[in-house]
Amino acid sequence: MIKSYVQLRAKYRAARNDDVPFESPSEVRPMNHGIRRLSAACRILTVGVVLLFAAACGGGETIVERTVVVEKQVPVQQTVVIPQTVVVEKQVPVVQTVVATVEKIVTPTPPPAKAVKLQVALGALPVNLLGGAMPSQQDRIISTLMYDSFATRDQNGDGPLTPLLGSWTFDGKTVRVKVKNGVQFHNGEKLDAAGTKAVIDYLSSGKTAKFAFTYTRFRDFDLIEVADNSTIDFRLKTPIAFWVIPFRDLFALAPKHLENVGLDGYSDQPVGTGPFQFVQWKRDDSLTLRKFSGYWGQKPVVDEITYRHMPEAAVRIVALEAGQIDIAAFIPPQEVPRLLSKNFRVYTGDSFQTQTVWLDAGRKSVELKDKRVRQAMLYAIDSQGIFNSIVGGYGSFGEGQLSTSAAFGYNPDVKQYPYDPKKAKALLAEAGYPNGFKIKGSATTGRYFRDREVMTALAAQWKQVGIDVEMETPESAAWLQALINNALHPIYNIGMNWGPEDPVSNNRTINERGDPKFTEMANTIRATTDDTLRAKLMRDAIAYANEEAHAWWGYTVPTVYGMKNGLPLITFGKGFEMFIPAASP
Amino acid sequence: MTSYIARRLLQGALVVVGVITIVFFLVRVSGDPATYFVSLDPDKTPADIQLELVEIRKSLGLDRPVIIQYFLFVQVAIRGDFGNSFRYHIPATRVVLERVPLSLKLGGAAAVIGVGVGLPLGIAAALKRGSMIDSVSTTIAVLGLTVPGFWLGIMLIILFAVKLHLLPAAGSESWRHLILPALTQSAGLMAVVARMGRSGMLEVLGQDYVRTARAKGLSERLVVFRHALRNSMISLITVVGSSIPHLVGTIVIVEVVFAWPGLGSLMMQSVFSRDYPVIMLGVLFMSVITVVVFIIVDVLYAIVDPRIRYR
Repeated sequence: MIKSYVQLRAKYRAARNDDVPFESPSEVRPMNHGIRRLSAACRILTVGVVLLFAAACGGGETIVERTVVVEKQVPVQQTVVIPQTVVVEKQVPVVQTVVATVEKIVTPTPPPAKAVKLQVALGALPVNLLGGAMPSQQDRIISTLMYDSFATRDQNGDGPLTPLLGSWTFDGKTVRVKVKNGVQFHNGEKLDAAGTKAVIDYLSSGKTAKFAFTYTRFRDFDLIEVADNSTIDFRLKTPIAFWVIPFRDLFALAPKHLENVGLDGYSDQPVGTGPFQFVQWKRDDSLTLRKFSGYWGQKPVVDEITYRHMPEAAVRIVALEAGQIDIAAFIPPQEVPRLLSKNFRVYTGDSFQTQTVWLDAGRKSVELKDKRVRQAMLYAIDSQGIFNSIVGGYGSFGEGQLSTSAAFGYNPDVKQYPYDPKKAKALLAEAGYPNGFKIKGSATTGRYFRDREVMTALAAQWKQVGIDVEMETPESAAWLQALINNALHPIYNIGMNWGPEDPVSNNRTINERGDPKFTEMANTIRATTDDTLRAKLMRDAIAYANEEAHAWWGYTVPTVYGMKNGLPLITFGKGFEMFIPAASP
Repeated sequence: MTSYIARRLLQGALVVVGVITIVFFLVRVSGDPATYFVSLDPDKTPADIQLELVEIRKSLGLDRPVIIQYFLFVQVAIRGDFGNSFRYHIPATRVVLERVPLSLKLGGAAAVIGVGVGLPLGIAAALKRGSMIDSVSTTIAVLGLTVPGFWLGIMLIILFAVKLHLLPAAGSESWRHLILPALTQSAGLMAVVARMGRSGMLEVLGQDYVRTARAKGLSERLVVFRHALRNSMISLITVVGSSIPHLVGTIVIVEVVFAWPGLGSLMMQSVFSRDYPVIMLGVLFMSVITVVVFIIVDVLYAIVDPRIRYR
C-alpha cells in the first residue's frame, strides 16, 4: 500500500512538474516569466476594474443631480405615543411603545428659491393615463394631479363632496351643473358644457368598456343635455341620495383631443385641466409631470414630479436612503422607526378602505348561519391587539362598522366587539358547538396591507376558542377569480372601499350573503334624499349589521410614505391623492 | 457550413413553434384573464358580473374553443400581429419591443462582465494552481454559484448605493444604473466561466502538444494564449452558450430587484395579470434568443476547432 502511495505521489509530482519550468536553452524564456506576465495582466485587469468603479463614482458624493431648496418651514414637532400590544404565543400581552413624529405646519410654505423637482417611487405605475379609467391607488395618485374632477372632497377627505369645476343645483330630480369659466386644458382647449357632454357620451357609449369603469355610474341618469354654453342638466331616472358620486369620478377630458386621438391616443398623450401636465411616460419605468402654467387654481410649489416604478418596498426604501428619490410610497410599518431614526420624515395617513373579514360569506356554512356563532367569532378576536401589533397602529382602528367617524351616518354607539374568549366559548356552547368546529377560510396574500399576517392571527385566536379555521392563501389572481365566481371559503378578507358621503353602499354586498332585512334597509337609504332621515337610517343599518356580526371590520388600510426632510409639506388624501402645497402668489 | 446553418435555423424555427404552442396551451390553463377586467361595482349582482365576464371574454376572443383560438393566433401571429395587450390596451408588439432593448443591454453587459472577468480568473487559477489566486478564484466561483441573485442584488444596493453613495439603487436612466444589475446578473456566469476555464485550461496544459510547444522554446504567453487557451475554448463555449438561457431566465429576478423595466419584469407582470398576448410574444423573443445563441455556439465550434466540419 505504501509502495502504491509512493508511486501515486511520484505520478502526481510528475504531473505537477508539467507546470514547473523545465531545463531549457538559455535563449528560451522560462515559464515562470509567462506566469508572471499573466499575473501582471490580471493585476492590471483588477486595477482597471477598480478604476472603472472609481470612474463610475464620478467623484461625487450624491447621485441626485437636482437641488431641492425649500426655505425653512416652521413645523411644530409633536410626539405621539401609541401604546402597542403584541400578543405572543402564550397570550401574554407585552406593551411596546412606538413613537411617531407628526408635523403640523403653522405658516404657509414659503416659495422656493429654485425649481423644485421631486422623485417619487411607487410600487406600481398606472397602466393607463386616461383620467379615472382605472380605480387603482396609483391611478388616483397621478390622475388627481393631471386632471380635475367635477366634485372633490375637502383636503382631509372627511367632508362632503363639493363642486370643483363649476357649481351645481339639485331640485330632487335634475342636477344642473354650471361649468366653471376660464378653465383651460393643457392643450389650450377651453372647458365648456358641450364638450363635457360629448366626453360623457363618448365614454358611456359602451364601445369603450375597457376604460369606462367610472362612467358606468352615470347610468342613474336617463337624460344629459346641454342647456347653454356653460350649463348641463343631468336628469335622474328616480330620485336617489347619492346623485353626487358620479361627479367625483368625472374627470374633465379635452373633447377635441379625445376625438382626434381616441382612447388609446389619449392615454399616450393625456390632457387634463389639473395643476400638472404630462411630459413623458416610459411604461412601468417612469412618468414625468410638469407644473401647468395655465392652471386656473393655485399653482403648486413643486415644478416637476417624476414617478418611478419600484415594485419592491425594500428597494424603494434603500433608494430613499441613498438619496436617489425624495418620496417612497407604501413603506412597511416595521421600517418606520428606522426611517425616523435616520432623520427621514414619515407620513402616515388613513384611507377610505376598510379591511373586512366576512363571516359566512355566501351562506355556505351551516355553523355560521347561527348569529351566536358569528358573534362568538368576533368576541374571540383581540382587535386592538392585532391593530396595534400587526398593523402597527397605523390607519384607523375599526369601530365595528365599515366606515370611521369621518363618514356621513357614522354610528358612534356601535363599537368593536370586546375581546372576551370566555363569552365566545359560552356562545358557541349555547349554539350547540361546545367543542368548536372546523371551517375553511381564504386569505389574500400581499393584496392588502399586512393581510396574511392579520388572517393568520385571526385563525390563531379562533383556535383558542375551539374554532379550527383552515386558512388557505391563494395567489392573488386565483383569489380574485374565486371571489368573482363566489368560490371563496365562508370566511375571507377583502378591502372594502367606502366614501364619507356613502358609507353603506358597499355594505349592500351583505345582500348577497342573504340578509333580506339589511337589503331592505340599504335600498331605503338609497332612495331617501332627506339628509337627516338618511343619516338616521344609516346609523340603524350599521347597528343592525354589527349586531348580526356579518363581518369583522378590523381597520382602515393605512398609507405610509417615507420622505426626505426639507421637502414642501406634501400630504396624501384618504383616496390616495397627493396634496402639494400651493406656492405663494 | 451555409447549408448547415440554414438547416439549424429551420430546426430552431420548429423548436420555437413547439415552445410557443406549449406555452399557448399552458397559459390558458392558468385561469381566466377576463376576471381582471370585470369591475366589482357594489351595485352589481353576481348575475351582472357573470354577464360582464361573458362580454369581456367575447371582446378578448376567449369565448371560442382553445384549439380555434390557437389557429386564429397562428394565423395573425405569422403576420406579426399578436393582438393588444390585455393590460395596457395597446399592441403587444409595442409593449414588448419597448422592453427588449433594455433586457439586451442588461444581458449583454452581464455576459461581457461574466466572460471578461471569469475567463482571466479561470486562466490565472489554472496557471497558478494551488496558489492564492486559485483559492480566490474558487471562492468567487462558489459564491457566484451559490449566492441567490436577489440577495446579492440587495447587498450590492446597500453597499454601493446606501453606504457608499456611489451608484444608484434602481432605475435605468443612465449607464451608472446598469452597473449593479449587470454585476448581479453576471455573478453566476462569471463563476461558471471561471471554473470551466480553469478545468479546461488544466486539462489542455497537460496535453502533449503543450509540452511540445514548450519544448520547442515558445514563450509562455504563446503557449498559453495560442495553444492552450484556444483548445480549451470548446468546452468553455459550450458552457457559456448553455448559460445564456439561464441568463435570460434569471433576468426576471434582477430586473425586479433593481426596478429595471426590461422583458423579464414585463413577463412576470404579464403572467400575474394573464396578459396572454404579451406572454406569447415575450416567450417568442426569449426562445428565439436561445435558439440563435445555440446556433452561434455551434458555428463557433467550427471556428475555434478546425477539426470540426459541418455537413
